[in-house]
Amino acid sequence: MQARVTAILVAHNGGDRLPRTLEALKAQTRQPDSLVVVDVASTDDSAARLTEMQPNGFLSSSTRLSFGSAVSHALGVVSPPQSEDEWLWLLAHDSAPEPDALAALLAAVEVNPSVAAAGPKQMEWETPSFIAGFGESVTRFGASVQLVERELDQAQHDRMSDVLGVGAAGLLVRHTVWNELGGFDPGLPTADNALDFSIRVRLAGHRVIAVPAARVATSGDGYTGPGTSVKGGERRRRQSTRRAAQLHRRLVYAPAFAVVFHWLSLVPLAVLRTFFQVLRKQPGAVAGEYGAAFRTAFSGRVGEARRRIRTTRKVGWGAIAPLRVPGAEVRRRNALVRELALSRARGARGVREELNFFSGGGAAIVVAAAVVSAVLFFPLVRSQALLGGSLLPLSGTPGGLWANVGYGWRDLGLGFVGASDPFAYLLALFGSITFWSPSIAIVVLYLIALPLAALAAWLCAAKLTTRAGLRVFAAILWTIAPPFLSSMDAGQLGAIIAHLLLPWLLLAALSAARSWSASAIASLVFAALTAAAPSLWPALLVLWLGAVVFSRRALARYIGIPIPAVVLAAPLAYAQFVRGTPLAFFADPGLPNAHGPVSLVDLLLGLPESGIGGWSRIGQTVGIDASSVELIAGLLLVPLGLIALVALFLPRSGRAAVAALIAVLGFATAFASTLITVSSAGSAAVSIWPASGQSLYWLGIVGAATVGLSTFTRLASIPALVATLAIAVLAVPVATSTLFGTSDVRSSSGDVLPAFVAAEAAGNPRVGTLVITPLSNGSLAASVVHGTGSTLDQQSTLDATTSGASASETELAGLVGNLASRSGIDASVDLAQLGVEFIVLAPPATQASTPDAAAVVARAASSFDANASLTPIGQTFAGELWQITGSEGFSALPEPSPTNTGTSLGLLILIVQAIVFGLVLLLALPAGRLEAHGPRAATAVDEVPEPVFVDEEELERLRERQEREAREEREQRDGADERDGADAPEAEALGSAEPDAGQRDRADELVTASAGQNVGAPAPAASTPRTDPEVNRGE
Amino acid sequence: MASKSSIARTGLRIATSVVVLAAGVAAVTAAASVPWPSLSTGVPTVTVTPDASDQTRVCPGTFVTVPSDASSSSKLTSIGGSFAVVTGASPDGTDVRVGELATPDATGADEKPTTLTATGANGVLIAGSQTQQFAGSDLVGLASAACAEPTAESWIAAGSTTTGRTSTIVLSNPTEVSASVTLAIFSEAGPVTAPGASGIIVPANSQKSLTLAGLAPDAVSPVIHVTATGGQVLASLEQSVVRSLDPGGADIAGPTDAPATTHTIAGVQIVSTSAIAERAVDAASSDLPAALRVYVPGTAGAAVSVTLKSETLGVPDVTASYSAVGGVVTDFPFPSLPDDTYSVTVTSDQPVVVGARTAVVSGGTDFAWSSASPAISGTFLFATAVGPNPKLMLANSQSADAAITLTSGSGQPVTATVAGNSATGIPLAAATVYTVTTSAPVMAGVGYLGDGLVSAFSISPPSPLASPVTVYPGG
Repeated sequence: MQARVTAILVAHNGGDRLPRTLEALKAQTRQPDSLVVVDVASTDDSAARLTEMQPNGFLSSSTRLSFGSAVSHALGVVSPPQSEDEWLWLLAHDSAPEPDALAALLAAVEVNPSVAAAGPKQMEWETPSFIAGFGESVTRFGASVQLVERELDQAQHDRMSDVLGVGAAGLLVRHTVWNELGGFDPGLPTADNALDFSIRVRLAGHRVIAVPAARVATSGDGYTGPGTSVKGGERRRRQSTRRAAQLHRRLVYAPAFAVVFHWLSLVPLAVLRTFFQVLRKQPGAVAGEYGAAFRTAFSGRVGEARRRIRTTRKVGWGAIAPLRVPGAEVRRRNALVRELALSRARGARGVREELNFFSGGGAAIVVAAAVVSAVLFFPLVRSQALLGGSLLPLSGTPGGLWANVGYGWRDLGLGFVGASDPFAYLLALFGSITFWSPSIAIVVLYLIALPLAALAAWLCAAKLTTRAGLRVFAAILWTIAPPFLSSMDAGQLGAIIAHLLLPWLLLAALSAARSWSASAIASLVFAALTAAAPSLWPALLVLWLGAVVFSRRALARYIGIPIPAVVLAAPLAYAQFVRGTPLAFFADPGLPNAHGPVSLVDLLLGLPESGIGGWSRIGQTVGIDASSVELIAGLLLVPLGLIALVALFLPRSGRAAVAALIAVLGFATAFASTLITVSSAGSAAVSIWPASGQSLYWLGIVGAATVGLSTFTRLASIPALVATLAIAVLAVPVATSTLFGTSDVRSSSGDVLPAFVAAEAAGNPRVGTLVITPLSNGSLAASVVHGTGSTLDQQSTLDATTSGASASETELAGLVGNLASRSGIDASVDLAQLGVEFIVLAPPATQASTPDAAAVVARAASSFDANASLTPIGQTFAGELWQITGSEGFSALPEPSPTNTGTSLGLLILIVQAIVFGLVLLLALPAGRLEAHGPRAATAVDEVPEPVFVDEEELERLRERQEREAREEREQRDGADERDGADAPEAEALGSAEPDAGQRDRADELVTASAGQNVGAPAPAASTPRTDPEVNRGE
Repeated sequence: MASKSSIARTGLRIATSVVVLAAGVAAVTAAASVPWPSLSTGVPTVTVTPDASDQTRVCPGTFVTVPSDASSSSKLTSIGGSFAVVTGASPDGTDVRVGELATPDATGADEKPTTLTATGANGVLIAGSQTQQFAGSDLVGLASAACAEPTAESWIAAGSTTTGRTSTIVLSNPTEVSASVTLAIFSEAGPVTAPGASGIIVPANSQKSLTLAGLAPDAVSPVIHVTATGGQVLASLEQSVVRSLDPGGADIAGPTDAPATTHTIAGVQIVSTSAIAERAVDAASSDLPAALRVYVPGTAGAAVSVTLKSETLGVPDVTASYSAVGGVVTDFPFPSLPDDTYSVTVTSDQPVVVGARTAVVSGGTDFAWSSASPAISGTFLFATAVGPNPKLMLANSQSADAAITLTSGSGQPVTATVAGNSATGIPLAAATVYTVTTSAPVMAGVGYLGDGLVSAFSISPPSPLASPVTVYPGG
């Protein structure tokens, strides 16, 4: 009997594509017997165009129906099927069949009476030589798989016949079967609609085939299927829809007893998959995961769908098992997609800059810096800990270090409850590296700081210039940077870390445009940087804002960079804000320590303290007056400054301007630092250490100079050499201070309290010691420490920036004042009750040894001596020691309570921070094969160009190259089309064969080889592998 | 087309560079010229005024000397008799606990050294002094001393260990902690090496006596630096003189001021100068003329200028200049002076320690040591004990006049004025406690003078230990 075909054309705002579809329909060699059109809430001229076709039935829907529902509605105006030979041909506004499509479909079904559904080969709308989709299946676990996706049609799939499922557009389905099965599942509006239908067709005992001879062009606008748009929002929506469809099908297909478990697992799975998606650099998919889980859980359509399967199923699930895609095949496909994406990424990056770390001087400069460092810091080599400046030993165990992070008891002095410094996290991290003796981490950092700086600067310079000499120039200048060496000299740990991290931040931020990993690394470095030097917050936020404004399509990868830093610093910032001292948030972490003032000249030279980095003192001894020294020092900066200045007016000045802007920001930060005096050490008010800002300033100057010199084709080495030598001369005194013992930093055994106290602390870790230090003005500084002494990780800027003494501090001061005087009350009793068992009267610091200080020492010592409840122990390295013996038993300070997990707030803070940093870390980790690429990825970075906000010329170059590549790609495709026939059989054989390791390797080789070729000749050779590895594998 | 856009690009580039450059120049200029506000939150600081402590005074007690009979010469003895201690407290009714020190080193006398303790409170003053008069065959004269605060460090510029001169160092520790005392002794020959002079343990609530001759034999003019750790002590030097077979007097010398470039000795009573001058030709009596003992602790020599101001109105000041050798002790004779009471002001270009010695030869022979004392302001309390013609000797080293009000428990208040840069004496009654209020800081001492009797002690302000101290908590 002659088949009768009813074509059902559903249009939804398809005015621009509808004409082609209608033309194609008219051009069919086998015309459908009747045409029913449905206009689904179109707001354009779709309805009018449909009417022009003079269809047999015309429906118009005012609500936005899904494709499946629209077809079901259309069947209302179609007479019920009289025989098995009545067919429905499902078309949408963007399904343009080739003239022989219907004929081919009918030919296929006529010879196969058991076939109930046949799908055409879906071709791409714009490039009809590419297959958009052809056949669908599911894996063993039910995930849908496109059997063919975006491939150049070389007839490699033309032997495909029986498949598990086919796409919706152009689907030819037996009318009776459609009615019997109830059409598409309303729970699957786009994704997997036809796949699910096909599976039900199979379960009802029919066959589903793919018909290679029938071709239908589809635009993939997301109406008949999930769509193929590359826009970010579309990608994310599609991912969510797909996931929802998969979950829906899982609930529908599952055996009855498992449904509840599957339903309960929806949200937990979404949580797990959040981490998974982040790890595979798909942060955009996270929201979709939850959306899909909740939509599926409460859709209410599962029951109906399960009933439908139950009533129509005639064969067991085992019947479709052979049509599922094996796991190995899935992996092979993913690997191919990945290779394709990577080769594309390389292509987009253009001339792949070889790092040449070893041949380009990188290794040499790092080794040289290591040797110089070993000489300069030789006195520190055998130390267990460092003291001086902001330095103190760290807690003895990693557990102790981590106990000092978060919100809880700050075990400093008499203690208080508050938020820790973000710096404490950094210290805990460092200390955990050398877990056997955490303090060594600081020593090691000191010893390898120079090579680390050289390495970071070299890699950063490699981003700016390809010339080895200039990379070395930048690395040297960064390593001998006056702010860096001055911070080393003064023991300002935060500024040292900031200097080491700044190039990494720049490097990661520059790469962040194209990489989620780099973005995550940038955010981690940002967090570490602001933790070490809070004064950099404003400048870094300004730079971040600039990056966001100019990031264009990489916005998502820039906008989140400060999040981890904010999460880390928020508790402290809130505490400071509530206390009414918001600016105290910028106080340097670590032991508060007084440092000298700084003049504008020093500030401009990159020196954080007055005295021209020690040259003034040297000048004094040899009899050069201060102003001459200043003048000479100023002249030393001139070569470098001049190069940076000239760079602004040379080619590539865009980059130089950005660098100069960074320098201006850095200078402003350093200058503002000198104005803000928020913490105190003893009687000294401590302003913010300006070196962190100066490091930023130096980064800008060196960056601008490097950019400037890189435009010199010749003679760049002479100014570079002059500038480097000049700065080296400037830096000599601060660089050699440790060697000559004039540095503030000194080696230590790690003990800060006398051995007698340490011995006591071994049995009584909370034993309190009152440390009294005489100050130059004849006053006393008093602090209570517990155990073996205060540690760096215990320090809290919240404590260092108090403007008035707290009640407990006032009480302590009263006790100390009375104890150090001939007094009517015996303060030792109260001290013992506070937990103090020992009193150390430290000698005055060398710079504070005045007659007043000596007098107050004598006064305190004689008072202690005269106190019958104090037993003098004797002179120790830390000062004179007394023990309070009047009280009974051991005195011990109260246990720190609450701990950082002891309050719900503290716990919440730690959990939020752990989640944020866990996710960022996952995002930062290279995921290798797990990373998602290609059209299925919700977040794709493959097509985003290099960061363009650095240089407008770079942008221009990129544009040109992209155009060239597009052109070449087109040429390539045309060429491939011509070769089409010849390659077809072999290609198909390969495409459907089991993956073969050897072949995969060959594909790898091809990709690598072409990448190698790229170095010499950018574009021509590169486009071949970039287009499609599948093609290459065929060749 | 391309060239036009490239020109535009170049223009934009240059404009950007110029803007950035201008921003940099503006930033530096602004930093240099604009008076930026700076934020300073201040340093948390607490000034602690110590709770007033128990005030303690200790009197040296009865005179300790080497016994005259050779049988027990190795042991010191304490001479009893004619001993008077007068103590008082202000305001009336203040609870003063009186105690005694143990004297394990020097037995003999029944009277033990007295300690006075009053609970510390604002305005509570305690004072006391003692006198002891001798009329024996080998011990004559009058010895007086103030009951004073124990200190951790003190200097004594008195004594002698030449033939016939017996000097005893008496260390009184009224505290609850035993004191470890080190004596650094200097003489006309420089520092004296004395093995037993360090680590002298003075047990709590007891008195330790040592003969100076055992530490520094044949020292004409010793100066002793006493440092105590642990408890604090009052150091006194008790000296008696026998010239040939004639007793030459006795006295107790208290601590004098620590090395400084200016000192004032409030009252030096110079009498019978002509008789002394006659007798002084005898070498044995060479220590009779009034003299100033000067020790220069440093190695550099000191140019010392001494001004003697008479308590009598209208008598011009006498000034003498000496040159003291560094590191040694020198006794400089005073210039020839009319009999009177003088305040002695010493100024020097190097820190020095000073003490003054005077003698009386009419109606018996006696000598007295006077020590330099710091100025006292406000209200202070002192007591006179039993002795002839007690006199309050005041010296004002400042230009402003000091108005003095002197109140005893019973009598009418006495007012006096010490004119700027002058000295005044006010006669007192014996065995009386006086309260003095002064409008300006003055140096004060009490002197006794009679036939063959002379003695003096200085009045020191309370120890500065109880002054407020600034504490930086959490530092």
